[in-house]
Amino acid sequence: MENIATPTMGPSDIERWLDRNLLSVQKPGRYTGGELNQQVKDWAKVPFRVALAFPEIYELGMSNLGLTILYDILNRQTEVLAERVYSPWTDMELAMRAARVPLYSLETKHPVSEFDLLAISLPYESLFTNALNLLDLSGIPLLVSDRVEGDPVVIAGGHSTYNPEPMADFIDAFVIGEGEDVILEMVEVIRSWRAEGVGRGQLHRRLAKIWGVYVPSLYRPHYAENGTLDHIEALAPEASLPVIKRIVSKLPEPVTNFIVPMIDITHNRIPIEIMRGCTRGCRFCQAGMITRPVRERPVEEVVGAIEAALDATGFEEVGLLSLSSSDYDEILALVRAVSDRFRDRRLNIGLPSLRIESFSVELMDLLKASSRRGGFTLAPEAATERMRKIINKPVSTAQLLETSEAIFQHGWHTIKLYFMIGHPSETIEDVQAIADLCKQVLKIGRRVMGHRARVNAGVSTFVPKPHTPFQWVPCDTLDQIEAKQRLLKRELRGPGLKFNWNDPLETMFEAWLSRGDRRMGQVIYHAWRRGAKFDGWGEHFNYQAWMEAFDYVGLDPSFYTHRERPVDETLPWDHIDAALHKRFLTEDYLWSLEGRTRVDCRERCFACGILPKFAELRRQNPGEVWECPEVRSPSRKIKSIPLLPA
Amino acid sequence: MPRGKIPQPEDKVDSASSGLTSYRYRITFGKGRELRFTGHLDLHRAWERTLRRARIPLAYSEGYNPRPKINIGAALPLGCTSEADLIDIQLIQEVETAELTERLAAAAPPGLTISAIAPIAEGSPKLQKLITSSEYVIPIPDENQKQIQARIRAQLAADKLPRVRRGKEYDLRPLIEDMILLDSLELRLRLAARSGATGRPDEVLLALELDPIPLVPHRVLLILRDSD
Repeated sequence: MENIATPTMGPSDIERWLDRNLLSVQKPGRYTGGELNQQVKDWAKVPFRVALAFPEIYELGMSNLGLTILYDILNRQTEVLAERVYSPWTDMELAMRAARVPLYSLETKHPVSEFDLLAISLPYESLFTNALNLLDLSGIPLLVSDRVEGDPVVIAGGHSTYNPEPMADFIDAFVIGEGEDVILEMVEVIRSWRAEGVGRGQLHRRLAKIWGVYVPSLYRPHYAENGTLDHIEALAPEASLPVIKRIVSKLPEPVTNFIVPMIDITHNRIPIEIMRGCTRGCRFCQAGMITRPVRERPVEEVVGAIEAALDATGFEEVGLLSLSSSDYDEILALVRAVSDRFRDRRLNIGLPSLRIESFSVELMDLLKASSRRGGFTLAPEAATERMRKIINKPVSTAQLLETSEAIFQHGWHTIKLYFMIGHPSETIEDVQAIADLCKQVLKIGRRVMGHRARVNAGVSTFVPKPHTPFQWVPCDTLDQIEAKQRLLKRELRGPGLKFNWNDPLETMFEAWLSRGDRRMGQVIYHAWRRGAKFDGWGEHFNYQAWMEAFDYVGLDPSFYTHRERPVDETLPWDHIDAALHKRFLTEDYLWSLEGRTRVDCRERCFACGILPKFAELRRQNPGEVWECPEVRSPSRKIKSIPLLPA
Repeated sequence: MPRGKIPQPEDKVDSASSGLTSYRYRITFGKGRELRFTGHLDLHRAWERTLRRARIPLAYSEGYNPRPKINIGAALPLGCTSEADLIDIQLIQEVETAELTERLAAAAPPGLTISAIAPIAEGSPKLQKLITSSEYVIPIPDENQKQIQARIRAQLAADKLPRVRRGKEYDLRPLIEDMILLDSLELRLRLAARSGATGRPDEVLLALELDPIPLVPHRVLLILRDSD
């Protein structure tokens, strides 16, 4: 891979090159910028410049709400500008490398290397090699240790960085948790550091003082003889152990002036987050664990935001986003308000993540006039009641069948059922039950509406994720996965049935990256050197490159994927504190083995750790802003963290 | 019977169900460099969103998946700009053209400019049935001016210009209505733009042995036949 040397092209050269070459690549609209509502500021007048990067193609990057929020926050500052950067598709990359065109921002075509700060969104692991490639295309040294003062400061955030170790060699600082407040604090620190002209080591120590910021170069992992992590050593007084995740006490006002793409993108709609966090406590779900506490947006705020966004964008669809829409306190009022208010404006309303109960069908029925009549999605995740107790998604089969019947009766032809294989203690009978359940649902559909009824089964493979009660369990082996998928392929065919599954090799890839320690950085680097990129794209996934990289570095992937970890092992992400007590996770894991479930924590607090950690924040935001119980007086046992960085 | 007098079936459905007559307007618009790489379908959506932002009372088709009644005249090839493209829109109530112009101009994305709006008679044919030709101006690099002149003469004199596009053989010659290279080094083209017989400026450039990738054809006119 050829590293692009210090770029000599400026914005006007890049502009000219694009103008003369874009017709020769696929979908040139990915590379032009210039859309409605993009923010363009004068570089001569704005002293601090941020490049917000999503290391995937435009269509996916533009659909990412996290960066959209940061773009809005940063561009509201008069002294700061923020511009977008996405990965070029392979044909464009070839053209750019051949002409030595550096990666540039869409708004003003400045090379990424000229920005002060490069913030990379890493919501999932398959972006890791693309992030390296993005740095390389920008001419920024890949390793933190190789960067000099003039190089941009490279930060990253997103769910995958709750285990930051695999990417620790490449990222100056990670944001652990929610970015809305912390991004401005980081900008301030970097600005004053730039003005002083002291070394990057100084900057790292200052960034480490900010609540929610993890600076990996200030920590050193020590390994035991058996290869497991012994402990993490803090190398500077500013490096706190653990690093506590950042949260916002109240959801900030939603973004409404979304950029309107000129080409079709993955989620071509208004995204409005109605609620953050989830109270269900499904044990496999990393998002449900790390996004606590649950904070809801008031109905009026959601409705107002949709109205403003509709005026600003003209989008045809709104997505009311959350991890579990049915759990939003005022869901019925919200759905009524939105469908009444926007009926005349022909707005499609998407309401994903509904619970398996007939109330969900009633909700969707209210939206019928304003929703696309696709399939109705239910996610039982497992097909037997035993297994659903283990994963703490205790829906009865009877309830699932009743809900399915109601869906068909209300006129939907297709039910999509989402399951996972590979849950802890899963037997082949549990897998067979997936096929049986799908057929049972189809039978109900046939009874209700005859041969138009369809069941689509999406069966992914479970990967135990950090900061969940299942973080200790091993991932299924390739043989196990293949046997289970063979069974399902055999059973789930015939008229009315459709079966989708994941490539088991890609599951292994997700497993070793999400569960890796800092040594994984070498593997990522060498896999990228061997051509790994766009790993999430099926046809681009290069398993061979990864195997060669493991071999070269001298690590064994199964050490990360298939080893059951004892509950007293120091995990590579233990120094990252998602504000969940380890004893809560351990207890939940042990309960799962006994088939014991927990109710929704709106009904009863299980002391996961959020309240003690953020007692002060909760006290300052009483009432329904959080779904956690109220905190009245400070407990002496609890040491809460300061609200502002030290 | 004059074709223009026959009511369109979709109009009938619409007025029957809503009790309204519909109002049609023809908009002349420009597509600037910002939109060079926005294709026809994407431009359609950009128009739809512009009209939605401007809160223009659009008419929609009936049925399972209602679509707004808008109709862009002749697809502009990717990479070209234009100052004379046409779109017809149908509304459910009358709006003053001055007001339409103002609201659309305020709501349009960068690169989309409104130059004229005029009401059109109900039942008048679709744009596709009216447009016969389009005129392009293409600034070309200054080398080999004489050679290019010679090639133009040769091509205009030829009976046939067989070409292959996307694996299909066709004759470019009948699609070229006129072609001239001005001293200002602008190539002016008039190409057929009837449905099923549309000339592409990049194909003409290739036939002239010019690389079309860095060139930007600019459409200056769509020629319509008389509607009666």
